[in-house]
Amino acid sequence: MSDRLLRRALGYGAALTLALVMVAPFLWMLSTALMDEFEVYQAPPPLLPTVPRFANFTEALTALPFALYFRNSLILAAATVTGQVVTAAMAGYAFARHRFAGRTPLFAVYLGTLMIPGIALLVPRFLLVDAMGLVDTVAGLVSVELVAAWGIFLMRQYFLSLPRDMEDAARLDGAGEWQVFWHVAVPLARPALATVALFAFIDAWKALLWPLVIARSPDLRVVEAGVASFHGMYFANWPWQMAAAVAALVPVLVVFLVAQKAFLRGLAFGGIK
Amino acid sequence: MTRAETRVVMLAIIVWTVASIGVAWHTLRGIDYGARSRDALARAHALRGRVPTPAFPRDLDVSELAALHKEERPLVVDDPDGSEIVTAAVKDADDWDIIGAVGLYGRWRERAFATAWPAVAALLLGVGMFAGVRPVRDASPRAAAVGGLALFGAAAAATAVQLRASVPALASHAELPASLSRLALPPPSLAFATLLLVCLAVGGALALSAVHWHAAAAGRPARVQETLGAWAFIAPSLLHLVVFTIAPVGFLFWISVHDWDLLATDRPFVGLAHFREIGADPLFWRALRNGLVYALYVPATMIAALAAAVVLDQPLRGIKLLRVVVFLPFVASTVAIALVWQWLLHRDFGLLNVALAAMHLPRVDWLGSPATALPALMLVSAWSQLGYMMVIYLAGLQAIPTSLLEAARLDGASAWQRFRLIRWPLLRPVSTYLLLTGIIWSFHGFTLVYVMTEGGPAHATDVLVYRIFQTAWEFRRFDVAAAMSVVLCAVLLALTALQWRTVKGEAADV
Repeated sequence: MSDRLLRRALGYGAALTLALVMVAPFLWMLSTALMDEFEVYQAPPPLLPTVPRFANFTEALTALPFALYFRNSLILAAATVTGQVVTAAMAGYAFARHRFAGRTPLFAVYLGTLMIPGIALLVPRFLLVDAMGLVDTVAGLVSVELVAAWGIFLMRQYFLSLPRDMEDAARLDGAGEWQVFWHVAVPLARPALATVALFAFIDAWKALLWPLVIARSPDLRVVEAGVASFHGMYFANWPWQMAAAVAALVPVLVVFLVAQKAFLRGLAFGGIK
Repeated sequence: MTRAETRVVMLAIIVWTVASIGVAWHTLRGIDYGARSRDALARAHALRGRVPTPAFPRDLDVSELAALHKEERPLVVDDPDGSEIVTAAVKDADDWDIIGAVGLYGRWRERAFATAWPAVAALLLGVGMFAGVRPVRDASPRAAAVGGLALFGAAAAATAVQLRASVPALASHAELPASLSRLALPPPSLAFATLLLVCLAVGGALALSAVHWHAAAAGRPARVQETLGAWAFIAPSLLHLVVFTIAPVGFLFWISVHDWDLLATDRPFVGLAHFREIGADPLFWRALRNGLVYALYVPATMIAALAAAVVLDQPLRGIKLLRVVVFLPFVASTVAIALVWQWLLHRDFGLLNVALAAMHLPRVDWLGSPATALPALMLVSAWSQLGYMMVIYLAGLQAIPTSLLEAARLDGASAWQRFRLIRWPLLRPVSTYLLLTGIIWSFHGFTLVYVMTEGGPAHATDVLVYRIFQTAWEFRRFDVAAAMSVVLCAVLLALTALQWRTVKGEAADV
């Protein structure tokens, strides 16, 4: 009996240590964000601020136009989520449900695009968008990630796992293809659509490289790029930097915590891909 | 569909094609380049004296102009007579000093169109696509043809206006005297605009043919209708994939064997010159080697993640919460992670060094010394991806039937034996998957390098992506960056092919 207790205690100990290691940098971020500018330079450094200084947040977020950056990030995220969800639902549905001329080769093409590393396409994509006159515009910012082949596969697999009875019933009732898709298939596929939307949101929020090269004017910066340049400008003011970092973290963490289930489902799909 | 209606549709297609080509021809021919460029030049000279004066909304000094030039960003100011002038810095023949600015006219209406046309064109195409998806059973083909004609006509008109609005920039660049050698505002490509108009013409004809075919298909077998419907469902994503993924692959190879200057209009074929250049560049090899060393964090993290998965696989109260906590860094904003770790690794005040000092160990300049900078980045990457790998391993562990482990336990296998002989072999597919995808992803890593080290110190953390970024966007050598991208693409494709092969091989085993 005591052996079992010991095991349990050891198990808890290991699990808690692990969790602490993972969460400590976040706590340190938050703690530093509430410290005075010079408090952080004490030796040994205080682990907690003597007096929490919430003004750091308002000061840091107004030192650069972060409201604008948040707006840009939200536009990017909204466009990415909308584009990926709509196209993934439509194409996934067609691949799963329709028999049509050219399906197999077309599917192979989609499969092939999954193999192409997006990072290697940075230069040609940029020059292409430049030729369209879209550099330094919102359209250029959101353009490249509007479709995700990954999401199309997820939706295809999901539609394949659904029974087609209801769609056939709707067809017998005289519904057109678009109505069947929109009123029958899409509502059934909501959980998978949530997964696509969630991954699209997190990817869009964390994107840095493309927004960096496509936005020439500071007005078009996204939050990640804004925090990065903030870091360069206020490199000695760690509380401000940490406050900006916390602000950049909050939206994506909230979305993740709210929609964990959809997230884990997506990971499982990636795991068996 | 009657013969008369078919004739109307065919006529519409012919009219459309002829009209689009006519519009393109007229647009390109009808502009008096000479007059426009003389006008732009005169205004440029007038502006030269005026740039650093209070006549502008705010004072401009030379450093601002330099910044303006570096960003290649035109400055828009209001002209006293009500229209808009876009100014751009002009550099001297040595491409060094800024000696003035060029003003380029754009009436507000033209400028509004120039910024709005992509949106307008996209909207029109979207509406057209939607119309294609909807069954046209009730709509007469004639109405559909007229509607399609109107949509594509409007798109072509918007493009033509865009073309007219952007021509003066090109013309003034072409006629600038040698002393005003470079204009910071890159001229829009006339060839591209022509191509666009041709595409619109062909696209309009094709779309109309599709409408026609769709309408005619109402009486055809269900298979044809289904094919049409399915292609309509797939069209949006296919269009995007062709434009933003498939075309760029070809374009990438094309750039890598041509000279590409944003300002020059001729792009001669140079063969493998750019590849020879990067082959002779020690920094490129350094970046490639750094990338390979950096990728070593993947197997190291996998071991830690497997241990973490075993720990978190226990049936303990609250374990689910702990799993979520371990996962947090993977979804967190990467810039935020980079910042907090830079603070943790700070040479004088970072917690890590404070802890070392408390243990009477020497302080380490983690990000400041070439020997430790790359390992420090690997540590951060490991920390941020541990949770993801842990979740995948956990799923793998939980898929192992408990009866197998129970049987082994009854046979007297120790915990370690059960792990080594049962769990580890059964987790092998998961491990190969994580290893290969992890290495592929490690080559995508940019944010940490960009924020924490900028490739330094002494190129110790210069990885390929960062090199490409610098070569293209700081040194403006897009062609050389493309050659590097080709190499990166080859490396990653080889890894991906390996991954798919192992996946297939394992599927065959089962």
